[in-house]
Amino acid sequence: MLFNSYTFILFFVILLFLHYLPLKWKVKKFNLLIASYLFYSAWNPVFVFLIWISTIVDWFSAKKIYNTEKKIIKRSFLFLSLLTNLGLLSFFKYSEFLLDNFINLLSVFGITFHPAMPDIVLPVGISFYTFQTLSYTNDIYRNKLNPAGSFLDFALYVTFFPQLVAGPIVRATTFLPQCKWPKKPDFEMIGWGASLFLLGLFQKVVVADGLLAPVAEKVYDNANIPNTITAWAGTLAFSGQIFCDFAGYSTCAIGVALCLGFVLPDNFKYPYAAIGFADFWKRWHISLSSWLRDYLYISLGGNRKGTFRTYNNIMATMFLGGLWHGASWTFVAWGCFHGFYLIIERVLKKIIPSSTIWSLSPVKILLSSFTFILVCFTWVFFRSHNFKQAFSIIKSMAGGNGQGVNLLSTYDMITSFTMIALILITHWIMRDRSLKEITLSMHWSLRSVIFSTVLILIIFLSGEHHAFIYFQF
Amino acid sequence: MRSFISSFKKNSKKNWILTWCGTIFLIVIIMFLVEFFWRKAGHVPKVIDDKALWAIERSKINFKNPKTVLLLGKSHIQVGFSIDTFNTICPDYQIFQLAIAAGASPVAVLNDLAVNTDFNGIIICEMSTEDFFKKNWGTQQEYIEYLYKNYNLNAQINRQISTFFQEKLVIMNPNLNLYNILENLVINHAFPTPQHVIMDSRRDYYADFTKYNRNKKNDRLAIFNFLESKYRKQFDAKNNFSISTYNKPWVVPLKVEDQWLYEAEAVVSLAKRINDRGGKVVFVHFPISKQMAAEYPKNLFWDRLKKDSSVEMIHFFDKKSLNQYYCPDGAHLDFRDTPGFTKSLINELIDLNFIE
Repeated sequence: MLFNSYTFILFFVILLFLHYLPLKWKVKKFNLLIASYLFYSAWNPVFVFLIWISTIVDWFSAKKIYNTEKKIIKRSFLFLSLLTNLGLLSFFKYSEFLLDNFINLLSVFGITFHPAMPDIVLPVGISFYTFQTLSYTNDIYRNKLNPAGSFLDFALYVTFFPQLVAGPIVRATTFLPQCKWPKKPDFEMIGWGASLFLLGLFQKVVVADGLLAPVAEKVYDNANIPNTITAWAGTLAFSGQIFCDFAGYSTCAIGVALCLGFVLPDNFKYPYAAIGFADFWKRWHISLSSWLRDYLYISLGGNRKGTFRTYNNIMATMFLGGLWHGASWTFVAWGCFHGFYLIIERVLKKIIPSSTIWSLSPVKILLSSFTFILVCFTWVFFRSHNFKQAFSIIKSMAGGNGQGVNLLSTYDMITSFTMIALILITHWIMRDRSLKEITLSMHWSLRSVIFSTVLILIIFLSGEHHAFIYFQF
Repeated sequence: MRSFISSFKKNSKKNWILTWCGTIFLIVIIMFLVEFFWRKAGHVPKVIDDKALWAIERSKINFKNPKTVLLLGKSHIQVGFSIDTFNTICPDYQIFQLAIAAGASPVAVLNDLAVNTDFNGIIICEMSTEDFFKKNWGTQQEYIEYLYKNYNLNAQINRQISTFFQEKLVIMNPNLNLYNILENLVINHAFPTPQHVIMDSRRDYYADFTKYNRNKKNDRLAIFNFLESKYRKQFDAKNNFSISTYNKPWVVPLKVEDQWLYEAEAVVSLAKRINDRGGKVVFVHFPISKQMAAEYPKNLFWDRLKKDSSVEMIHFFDKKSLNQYYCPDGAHLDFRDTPGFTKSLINELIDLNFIE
């Protein structure tokens, strides 16, 4: 079920009504759980079984890990949890990729192998909920968390519909305590939650789908080689599209959860205003980057085992981070470029002495712009269908494709450059501010005018409907 | 830690209630004014076609009822055949519009009905000569894939709510969204004028060619609005579509008309399969202009297939009652002509014992 669909609005209105009826808290949580399964079933009811497998295995594994003192038993059940979740993820997401690579490897040695290719449908959101449940068993194994009080709470944590299919990846430490006490109707929470939902829809429907997706598609879904300006316009459009698409979903999810009385963690903090890549990853898909840091990078040794191992760990983390996004080497390349930039940044920070010059605004803007340009180059790999296309577009962006053609109209160019400029300015202005504080400081009538304008734009500017990009991950 | 969007700090309850009441009030006022403006300018509510609407019609079919009539084809039959007229003349029959204006050839839909169902009713399959070419067979396949892979209760409910609003409100017409308004203002220096083609929830089109303006982009694209680059891309991708039930060895003839005949026989085999289980399929070539018809001379293509075909075929050129209608844009009938044309076609079908 898409947030930007009539069925979701209908579903949510009914759910909100049920949620605020004077019922027992346990009944309300049960309602939320059923609603979450219904929400997921709207794509494919069969795949609810996968969520059940993940939920049941992790519930029992966590109990066993917590209740035993024996290290070997703890490890065995952690292994069971990892095997189940990563096994499901690998089967559904990486089978074809692995088989393809195996075939290619054999062909290097002159062996021709033509197996029947499996036609496996990728369950929506599997990458998100498997990581979420894995964090639960890992936290219990590391004695950072006690098991959930009830199976209902745990099942709701795994399945809670606002963040089920595209994040944020919520930690049990954040969610489970919120299941303890009943939620009462709270107009402030509902009011702010609805505002966030509106903002998220605006980002998705108007900016990502309506304005930027058509421009990016004309460049990236085209067999012709673009000229320099077209390649830049298409890549900038995609940079804006992927931010508005994904941040839009997260904002909607946070808003919907707030309306139900649950607080989810922020997933984006104006990432295109980042100065450097370490800063970028503290602002972009925060719930994933912190997951990778806590459960992968630190588990590999983090920065505790010398400079070389640190760089190695960064690269391995970003390699897997890239692979998490999709079963394709272009996603791996995207992750590796980010790993490479993070390493270079670390090296430069060691070499270049600290100075007050770095805190000057013009220098900050310059560094932020440089970071953004490098991020744009990595997006080329993320969006391209293959390496050939990626290198061709990068060559065009660097001015090396003299025979590239103009694939965009003047209107498309203006849309792309204007929108990305507006996004960058907004990110820079909002860099260290809270949207909530700004909204609350407004008079209610001004808020009404802004909200109605946003709503009008959603109604009258909605373009062709696209699924959220991150659903495929 | 500073929270950027989801932090929660108490603000007056009254303020939030006022904010949202104010928002709803403004929205209602603005929408009412815009709706009033467009209606005053002559626009009427219009249902927008898509795969979900097609799938809803497809899922209504009773495959066991021999008095079910399916309309297959493209925009020619969607515009040129009047469902209301049919229902008046043949009240005992159930009719469903499964033609797809965006698709060039209905072979994929015919193939689905022949192979994947036990349908034994009546199929009026609108085919232009070029629709028999193998390269065009797969152009409606994406609708079949959508039906089997993506269509579900959620899609159905969403589409039904969408249809409800589109039937009631002009502002729900995507052609009147701000992009199109801006584009019209820039190109034509005017607001969009009412379109000459409208569709209802049964997917029945009405083309009023007195409102047709050949020079306006919106009008040119009203029927063929999918035939843009995106559609072309999908079109190319579907060229591998083949009819799995046709087992004759594939050959590469020298002349285009021979190749066409060879490929057309495979299409006829699908119709025959339905006929063999008690169904009735007729291929109908709808009226087009003489210039368009000259591209594929009837004697070299259509007549050669018809000569040996075990399936009924009607070409508008061969029937005086069907050949008296003028297509203002070269390929589609005006809504004033469709009742007469439909009546004539029904008479032809009665003569063929398709309809009692």
